[in-house]
Amino acid sequence: MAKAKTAGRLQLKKDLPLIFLCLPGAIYLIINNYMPMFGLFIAFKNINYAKGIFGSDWAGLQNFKFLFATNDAFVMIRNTLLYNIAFIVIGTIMSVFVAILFSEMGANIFAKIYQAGMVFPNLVSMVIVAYIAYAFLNSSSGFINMTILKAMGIEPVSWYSQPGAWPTILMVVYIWKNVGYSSIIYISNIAGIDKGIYEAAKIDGAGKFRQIVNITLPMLKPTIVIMTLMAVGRIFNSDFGLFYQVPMNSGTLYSTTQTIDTYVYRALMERNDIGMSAAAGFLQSIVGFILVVSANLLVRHVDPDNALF
Amino acid sequence: MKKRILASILAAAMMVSLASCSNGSDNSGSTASTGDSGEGASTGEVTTVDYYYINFGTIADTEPVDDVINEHLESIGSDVRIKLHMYDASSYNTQMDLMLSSGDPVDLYCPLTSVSTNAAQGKLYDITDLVDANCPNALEMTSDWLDTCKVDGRLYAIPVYKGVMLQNYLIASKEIVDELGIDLDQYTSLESIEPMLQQVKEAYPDMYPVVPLNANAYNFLDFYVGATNGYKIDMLGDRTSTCTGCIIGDDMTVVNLYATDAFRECCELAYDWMQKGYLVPDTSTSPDSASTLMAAGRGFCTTGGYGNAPEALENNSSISGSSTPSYYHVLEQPYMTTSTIGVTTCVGITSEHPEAALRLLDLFYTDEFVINSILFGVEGRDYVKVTDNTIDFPEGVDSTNIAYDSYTTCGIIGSQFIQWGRQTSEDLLMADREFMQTNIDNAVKSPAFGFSFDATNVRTQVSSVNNVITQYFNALTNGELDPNTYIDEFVSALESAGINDVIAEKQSQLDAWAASQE
Repeated sequence: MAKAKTAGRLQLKKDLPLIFLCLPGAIYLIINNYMPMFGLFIAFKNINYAKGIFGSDWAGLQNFKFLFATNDAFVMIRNTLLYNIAFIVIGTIMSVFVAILFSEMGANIFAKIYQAGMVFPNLVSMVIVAYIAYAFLNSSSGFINMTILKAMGIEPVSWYSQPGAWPTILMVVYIWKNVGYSSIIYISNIAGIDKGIYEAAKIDGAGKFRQIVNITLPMLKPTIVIMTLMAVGRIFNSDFGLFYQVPMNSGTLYSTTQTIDTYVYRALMERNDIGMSAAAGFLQSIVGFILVVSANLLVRHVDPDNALF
Repeated sequence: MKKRILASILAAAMMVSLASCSNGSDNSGSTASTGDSGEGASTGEVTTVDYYYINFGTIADTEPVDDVINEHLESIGSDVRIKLHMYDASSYNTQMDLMLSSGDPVDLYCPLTSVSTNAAQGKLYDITDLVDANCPNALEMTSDWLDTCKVDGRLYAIPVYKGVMLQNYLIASKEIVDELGIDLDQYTSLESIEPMLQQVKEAYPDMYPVVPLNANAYNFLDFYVGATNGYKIDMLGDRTSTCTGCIIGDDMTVVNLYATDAFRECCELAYDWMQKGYLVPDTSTSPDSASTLMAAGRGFCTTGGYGNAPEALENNSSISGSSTPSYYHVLEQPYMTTSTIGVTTCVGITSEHPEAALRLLDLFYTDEFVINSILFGVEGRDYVKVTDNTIDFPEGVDSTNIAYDSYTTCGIIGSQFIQWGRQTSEDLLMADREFMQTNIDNAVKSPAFGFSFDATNVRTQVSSVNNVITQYFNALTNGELDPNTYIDEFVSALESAGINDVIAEKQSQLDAWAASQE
């Protein structure tokens, strides 16, 4: 017992510089990520400015009620989940695909140009993306209506009042904006794979396709799992810009573009109610937390080496 | 061990956060009470009042303006001094909420939402017992309107005295009206202008005859709730786009606005005009407003509410470079309801000297120099006097390089009837004041004038209902959806969101209010 204690003290002495090294980061985390958590109890309060945040009356679960008061609850939860699942699945497939293509291109000037071109959309603000989409979709002067559909002899479509078209439109916008950026992490992973393995495979007579399926993809698996786990944790949060800006806040599209974030924003803009906003954020965090833990449990069950914790 | 460390970290974090809260209020408390109180030592004790206001233009340095106003206040022997805090319109509300919740002293401010809601959330100071002694002039001037600022018989705000009766104007491009020889005076209602739209459509096929004044929404519904041709609808504290229950005419039964004939007729008109090509398709999503469309020659006319006289507005449209010279013609009188008196000045709950704040507020209604300095800045630098009531830019200064310009604050402060006019004539200004006064005197008042609704008990339903409204409202009132199918869908969605609970709550509060009036 005593031995263990001295060993522990020695260990601490050895680690002290490292601990100091991480101190600024830890302090930042505590101030920025942990201290605001005390605000979570606002979700259970009926805020009164005269009584202050701490003195206000408790409201029980009253603040959560509005999230489930209408059938909108079903629509927005469905949209949030389905869009995010689609983004995770199709987004990952697309980024891995793009990453493999890039690494096959080798390190020539064109690869650099294409790569820069694909990352660029990620740097564009969603508001601008919304107007680029508007230039395509606008019914009186949009590119699709005035050029493509006209050439094909099809009547112009009023895209901003066609809810059915928006899952596809949002998917395309999402892929266009994000794939280049998220493929970077896979490209760097592929670059890190031991070239010897590929050479050995080549000697054994494996073609390009075989090499990709049997070497590249298995080697990428840990990264894909981690990236997916991280995305799953945020499955209840949606990209606000994508769902609010790109559909131009058009009411008719709510059935396919309303997500939890946009609903909360719209509902609370009017009344400026701190309690209800906190309740919505609370719910999203709790569900996100549960999802990460359970997804990790699942991964640990199937493939213990790749689990996050 | 681990647990103990965690516990102490958490405890430390909590203490830090608590300490930071109390620190915040202490600090700000001391800054407010010191200020320049030392300067006016000769007149004895003076108090500095923090006034928070909105500017819709560029945010400027307010200190030189503080100085000229304080000099004036000292010369008239007042015991209050002013400290101005100018905020941009987009951040004002959030900023005020933050300051009030963190305990920073807010002496005077303008809540942009209803007095009843703010009072229910405890943001406002109860000024009932202080007003008689501290702001008698403001009280007398706004005495007819004070009921709108009361909650349970207690007074929480003083209304801004201004041309609140927003006339529903038809605003048409001068050039085209003259060219086509149109006589605007023959039109007395929104429906009656249709032949003119047809005429414009034929003469200028590329032009939209009616464009929306503000992007995304035509405001035709304002015409249908008005007092001349409209149904005289009191939305009981809401706006047309957030209405959770209204009363029509003298009938005190609360009904759903979106299930009324007024709403249906409005949507039918818009849908019909859209089919005929008079309106901009996709208005709900189009970022263009009347000012850009009319300046680009793509729009002929628009509709909108202004309190000012037509002559004054026409003069304005011809001087400011960005807008199109236009004719203004009144089509519909508004109906005077509690929400008509929407703009008020309040004392924040965190104020440390509410009495001094009210004494300063009183000057906003009586002292030309104080209010006009807040609006126009420093004489010589930001403006020069032309006549007693009119001013102009000084030599070499214009709206782009002016040091301080808060002209756009005119509608949220004090009395509009002592405000100067810039680049106008004495005659026009006086005509404008008279026009606004006449409209106030002749206003058709709702029987529920003075009633304000407290939505606290039904806030869940109000949030859900508002979400449903945003989903359908613009598309229907812009004529993009067929009213025959979508109004029914809209109304049933509202009902499932709980609008009937809100209506019932409104009805019971209204009944109680009506009983207390007798």
